[in-house]
Amino acid sequence: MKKFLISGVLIAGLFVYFFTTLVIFPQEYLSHKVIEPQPIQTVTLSVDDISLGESFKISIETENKNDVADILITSVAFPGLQEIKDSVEIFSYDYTQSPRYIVPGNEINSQYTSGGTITAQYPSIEAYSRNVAPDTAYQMTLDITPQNAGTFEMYIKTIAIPHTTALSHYPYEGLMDSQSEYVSIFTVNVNP
Amino acid sequence: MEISKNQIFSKKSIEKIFLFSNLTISFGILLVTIGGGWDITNHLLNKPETFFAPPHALLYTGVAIALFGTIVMFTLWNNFSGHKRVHYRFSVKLGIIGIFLLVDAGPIDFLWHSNFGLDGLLSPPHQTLLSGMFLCAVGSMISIVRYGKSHKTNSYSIHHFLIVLAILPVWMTASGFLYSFSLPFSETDYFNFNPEIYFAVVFATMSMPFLNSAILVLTSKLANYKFGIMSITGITLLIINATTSILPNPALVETLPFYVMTVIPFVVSDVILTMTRSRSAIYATGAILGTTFYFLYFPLITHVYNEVVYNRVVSGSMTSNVYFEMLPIIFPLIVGPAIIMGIIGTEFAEKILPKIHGNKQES
Repeated sequence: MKKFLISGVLIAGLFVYFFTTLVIFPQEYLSHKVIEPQPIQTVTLSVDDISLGESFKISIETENKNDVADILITSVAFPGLQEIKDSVEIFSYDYTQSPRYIVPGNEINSQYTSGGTITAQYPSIEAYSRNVAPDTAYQMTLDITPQNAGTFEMYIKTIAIPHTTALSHYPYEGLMDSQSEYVSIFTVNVNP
Repeated sequence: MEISKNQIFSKKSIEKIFLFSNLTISFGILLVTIGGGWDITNHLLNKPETFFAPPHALLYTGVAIALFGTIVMFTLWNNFSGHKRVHYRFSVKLGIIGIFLLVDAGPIDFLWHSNFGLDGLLSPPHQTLLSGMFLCAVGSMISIVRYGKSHKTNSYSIHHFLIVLAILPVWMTASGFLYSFSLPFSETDYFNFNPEIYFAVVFATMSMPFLNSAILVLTSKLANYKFGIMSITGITLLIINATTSILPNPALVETLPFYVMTVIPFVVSDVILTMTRSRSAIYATGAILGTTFYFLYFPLITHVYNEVVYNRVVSGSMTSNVYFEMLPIIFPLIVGPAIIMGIIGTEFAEKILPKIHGNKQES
């Protein structure tokens, strides 16, 4: 009789365990609101017209709004270049992580919410910070010396992870880059 | 007049200090594993870019303690003679090889960080460290068990409870190996040692239930099926994992009640083995313990299955969402293999038991 009673308690215990871990807790946790970090960026160009051989500076200030962001990434891409070489140097940088240099052919994340990767088409610099509280700002200034005359183009965007809504990304509209993400385009005219 | 060691310490007390040195090694390795677990979480949340991080400090404090314990253990073993020397020879050898690997792993890790920056989980320094930890943990576990076997009584004694400290580092270092070959944390700027994603999923699904079941059933067997030893071992692991992997991430703190629930299968399995030792009862515990692996290895296991199911960016605050979203997809697929591997784990525990006790050697 005692054995039957204990067996009953054990079976009940296992039922409670599997029912709560497989049904109750998942429903409970998935019903919670997901955090929504919202980055905004401000870009300042030192000049918009230079002669070949001259340099210009571009400053990007990024601020996280609304909720804490696990990761804040600001990307400055150079669609007209095959490699960054000596054309681009970081003048100042206060993000918490070291910058990452992306070269064409690198596998990079895209579609952060649904998941996926793509192959980078052009070089870029990604500035990172981790665990970014709301209303925290970071800045990066690049010193750029174009090697050819013509229009020097830069695609700039900022992404907050978790990427939960359209506002987890800045800008909200504009040109879509190869990662299928909106970018702000900045150009400098390089005279021969 | 020179006083010999034997005049100061009796043979019995020397053997007691030998036991204590092995407990020191186990404790040191436990600290290393706790530091290692904390280090993984720290890498996930903060991506430290320097070798000098708090988890590394804890980790290498553990190495120093294990080194001290090994020196004492080897010195005392050298004074043993006859049967006692043979009885502990294998475990001492494992400890010595282990501590060499462990101590070497420090400079290798520092050099790796200096040359290649952030290193991945499956990096050569980490594998050297893990191998050393595992050998040290197994060596001291065997010594503690063999000592306890000749001192244990039918009623509860301290030696039953020492099994918890002896087995935990073995479990945690073995888990470290399994994580190394399944988590996608081994790609750095210089190397990509990430396991292939389908291999990682199959490997985790097969090995983790096996390990859970083998370790916990072995714990129960080593404690002569005394109720509580298996539960305490499992609960201690839950506490360590919660402290190193859940609490440091504010977004996961609310999942603690879910994580704590895994106490239930540990206690249920413990009660079953206390009540009956029939083969079917042992298989039942293996099956129960096997199925708990997806819950026990939360939150890190999320990264293994996410690679195949979603391939999302699993940042700190998204971990529980991805984990619980995957649960209804993953669990029906893994429950069968988990039960089978859990049962195989009990067979392994049965086979390994006489080797740990050293029955063959003594006969």
